[in-house]
Amino acid sequence: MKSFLLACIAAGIFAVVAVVVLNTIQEPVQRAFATSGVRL
Amino acid sequence: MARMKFLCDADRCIECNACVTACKNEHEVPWGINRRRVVTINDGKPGERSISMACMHCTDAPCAAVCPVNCFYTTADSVVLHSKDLCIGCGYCFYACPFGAPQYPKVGNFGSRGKMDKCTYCAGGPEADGSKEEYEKYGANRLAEGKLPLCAEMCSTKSLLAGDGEIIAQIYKERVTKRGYGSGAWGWKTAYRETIES
Amino acid sequence: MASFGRYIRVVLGAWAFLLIVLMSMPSSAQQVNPTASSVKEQQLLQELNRIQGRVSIPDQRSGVLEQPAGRDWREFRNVTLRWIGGIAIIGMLAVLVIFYLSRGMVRLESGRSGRSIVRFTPFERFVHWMTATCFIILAVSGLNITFGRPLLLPLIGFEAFSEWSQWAKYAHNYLSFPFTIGVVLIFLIWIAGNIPNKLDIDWLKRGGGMIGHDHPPAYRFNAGQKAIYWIVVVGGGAVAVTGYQLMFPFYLSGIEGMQIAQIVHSVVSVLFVAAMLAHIYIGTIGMEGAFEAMGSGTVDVNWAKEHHSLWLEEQNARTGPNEARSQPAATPAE
Repeated sequence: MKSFLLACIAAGIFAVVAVVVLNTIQEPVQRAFATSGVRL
Repeated sequence: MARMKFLCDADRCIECNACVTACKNEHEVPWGINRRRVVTINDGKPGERSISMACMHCTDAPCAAVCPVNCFYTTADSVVLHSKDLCIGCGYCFYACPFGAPQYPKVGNFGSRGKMDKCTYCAGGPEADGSKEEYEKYGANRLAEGKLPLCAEMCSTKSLLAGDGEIIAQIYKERVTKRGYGSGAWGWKTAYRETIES
Repeated sequence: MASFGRYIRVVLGAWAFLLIVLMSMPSSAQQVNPTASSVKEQQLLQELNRIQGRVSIPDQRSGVLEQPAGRDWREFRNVTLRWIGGIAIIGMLAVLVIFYLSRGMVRLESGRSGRSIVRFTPFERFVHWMTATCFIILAVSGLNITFGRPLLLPLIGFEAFSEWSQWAKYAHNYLSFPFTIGVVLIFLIWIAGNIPNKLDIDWLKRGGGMIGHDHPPAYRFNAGQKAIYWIVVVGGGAVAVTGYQLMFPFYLSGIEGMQIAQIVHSVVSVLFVAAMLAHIYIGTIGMEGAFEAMGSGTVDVNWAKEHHSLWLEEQNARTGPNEARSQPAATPAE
């Protein structure tokens, strides 16, 4: 039971880390598709 | 009701991108999102052609078929629209769409790409016609005002045609007969399972 | 008279010239055909089944003008996948129900000895349960994407289903990370006992103790468990790789790569779910004394004797038979 609860907690922690990492990677198209040239 | 379609006469398109700009301006589409684009094939070679492409509002639309939350609907004018309130930004419609029409506010990440945006045929969305909410989410609703999509309306060479499928097909056919050539209605076979004989 | 003759000549000449011009006009108009060398839609589609060109916008994906392959992907997603998934999952459930009704729980034939032996360390159980809980949430949220629309949406309505799918999708994304870590750890901690060998063939021939009442010998993991192990490692690996490709769309490939990734991801996933149903069945109601292995970490010695006789001998040889703790825990005399 203890290792099961620990497992759930660990999964949660990894998931939260994933949220933070993914949200920093995530780029809005305004920035991703910006160029110094013509923009349409 | 009419069966609304787009038709791009590739032999007339001069790749001026005015349709793209008009669309962006009319609906205040943010940077990076392109409801309409102009693709040039064989650029710089003899026989190059440019085609202005947006959502073709397909018959039996693939995007609507694959949407996991069923957020698409077809209006009485056969315009394919979607609800941004229901969209979960999974990106599946982009995989199914033959024309690359769906656009997302963010580039990465299956989970949080934001609400999908695409050409509405200037027909807004599920909100009340001409309402502020509709404009903010989907842009102008010209169709409700009795006007056709702005991209086609202001095309300087009248390459891009919008309107009832039979009428624009007739216009194109007459054009082809008169000038003696025509490279066909691009995308029609894929979108509507029919071509214009010329 | 001479001037009249010249007049006639001029008039005739003018007429002849006009005639030549008129005659040549339609033919010269037909000779100029600007589409003669132009690209043709159907020809391009036949060559590549895709039309690609240049765009002046930075999003280079939009250079794909037409990709009718989306239609095949739609067919897969809406029809083929639902058949594969439905047959695999419903079929597996049916097999399990029939098996349970005909065979029932596989009992410990020699009863409980009252003495137990450690089967999985706390760390092994931690890894197992982290992967397992993530798997269940991933499976439910993944199946929702494929089967939610026909099955769940009509029951709860558009708004509620969209809200639920949104959260399910977030969970699917974020829990993929602990799941992947779990799969990697499973691969590392149990690889030693899971290399197939000759004993497995004999074990399979004798029905593995599930079919019939035989108890073929096995080391720490029998052939069935090895199969589950490799399904988790290979299937989990495939699901993780394609899943991350889907999670970071178009980083690695174009549209066709995304479609293939989704096809591989979904097919492997539904088969994975079906396999795990069998695993869960045997681990819970399918076999007496099996759950304890992952529950408390210890199994009854008689269970070990029946299902993993060679492993028990190994353990006894290493630690001595008296190490096996008797229940209720009597600590060995110091």
